[in-house]
Amino acid sequence: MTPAQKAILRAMARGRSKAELTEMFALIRARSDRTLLAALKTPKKRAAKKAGDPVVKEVDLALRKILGPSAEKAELLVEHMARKHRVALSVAPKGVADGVRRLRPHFSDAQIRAGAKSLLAEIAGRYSKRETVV
Amino acid sequence: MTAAIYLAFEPEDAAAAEAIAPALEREGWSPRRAAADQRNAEQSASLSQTVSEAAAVLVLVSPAAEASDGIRREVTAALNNGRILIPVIVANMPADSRLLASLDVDRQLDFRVQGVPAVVEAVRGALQGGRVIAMLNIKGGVGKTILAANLFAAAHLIDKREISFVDLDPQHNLTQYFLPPGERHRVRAANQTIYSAFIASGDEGRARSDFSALPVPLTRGKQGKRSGFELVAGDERLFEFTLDTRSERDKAEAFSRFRAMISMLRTRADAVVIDANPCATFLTRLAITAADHIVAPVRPETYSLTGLNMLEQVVRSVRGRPLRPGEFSVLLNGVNDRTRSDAGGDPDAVTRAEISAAPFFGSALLEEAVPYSGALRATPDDRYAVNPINVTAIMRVGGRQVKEALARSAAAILRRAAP
Repeated sequence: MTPAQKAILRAMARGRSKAELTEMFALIRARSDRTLLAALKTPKKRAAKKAGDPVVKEVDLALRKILGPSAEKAELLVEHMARKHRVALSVAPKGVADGVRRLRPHFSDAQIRAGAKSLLAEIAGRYSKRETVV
Repeated sequence: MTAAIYLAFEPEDAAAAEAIAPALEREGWSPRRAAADQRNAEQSASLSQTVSEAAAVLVLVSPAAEASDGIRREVTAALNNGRILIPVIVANMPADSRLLASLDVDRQLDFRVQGVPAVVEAVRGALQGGRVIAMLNIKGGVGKTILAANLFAAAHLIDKREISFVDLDPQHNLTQYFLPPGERHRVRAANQTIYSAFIASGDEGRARSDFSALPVPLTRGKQGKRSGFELVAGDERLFEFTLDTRSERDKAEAFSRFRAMISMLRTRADAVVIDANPCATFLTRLAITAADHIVAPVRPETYSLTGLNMLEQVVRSVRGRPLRPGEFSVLLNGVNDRTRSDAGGDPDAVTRAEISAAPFFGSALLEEAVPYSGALRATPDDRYAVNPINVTAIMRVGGRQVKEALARSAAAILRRAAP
């Protein structure tokens, strides 16, 4: 063994008992290099998952029955809220989440939730697929 | 390519024709007139051929023209071949002129008052505007309606083409595809269907000047702009024109009003797409006489080929002349269908080989084909399509292969339909 190799061993054994070192040598002999190197890696820190905006989630779920891109649904919601509450809104949302964010300065969360539900009720009345037979 | 302008006139009106022809040439157009013997009854096919090659037909209207059989044949050839007719009045005419009544009144001009520049302007206006494409096959169930909607939705969304649909089928499936029942009832109650365009009098009719209010937008227009994707809705009452419940006079009026409506749509769209009914009826005749180009969808099966042969016969009979393959596009619909049995060989390959080898339709067959796909089926029942374009496959999630095929096929059709 070269002096450099002996130095590496001494650094590894520093502060460990003889029993601990025996266990370590057995572990090294039993495992492949790849497994040992992977075990030495420090685990990546994962960002904590953000909790979604419950209002966005609820509105998105309510508008799922409308066939079309998210931006179009948000546009319908903004138009509907403006009509319902007689407010002039010049908003061009990029999607449902953006739409809710832009409606927030004008309406409460409860009003937005109720708006999504009443929009769907209005659409269901206007665009029902029910055929009538003479 | 130089546009040909056909001049229909009697020897008595030669002075006006001689003033107009050089002005047309100066604009780069090629004035044409049939040879004297072509205007005989025996040469009607040859006359129709010459007239059909012109982009527009100028008719010099005078008492001599009113009495002329030659002019009558030229006008008939122009009407049967979907040519734009520009009536140019060169002498006093009686109020009940039958010749004037048969021409496109909205393009009429008085040569004695307005002179040559007005004629040049009228021709320029006639040459502008979209192409008229008819989805047609005498056989039913080949996918005319669904393909019309989806092909041209692809052309609109991908190539930004402005499209106007005309639902000319009494079953009005194209209207049902785009509009839910509530919307259809609203449109019908507002006399905003094609039936109102056909009817000249009564509560259900609409004035010609009001035709621009007929198209229903199929996209949400942004910032007050007009939708570039619209539909003249169909109506089940069109059956009156396929049965014998309407007089010949009513049909003649409907023919003239339909031409006026198509003329209006041409000014606002890159393509006017007519979804015609299967079979051969008065409505089929309207579609054939209006169309610049005919798209015949074909399914890979034996009976489709019979339908194609019938289509050629019907169109030739209506247009009164031999046809050119360039006037048609044959599109295979529903290829690679894994649900069918391939016991007698690959039906796609067999059908393609048979059409390719056909003397007339061989060169009309498109290389592109639309694969069999669930994405082309009707919109899911439990969802609301507030924006009608969203029901098309091109706007729905999935089906990449069919979307690409639709876009390629639509582009190929529009290339073939170009003047």
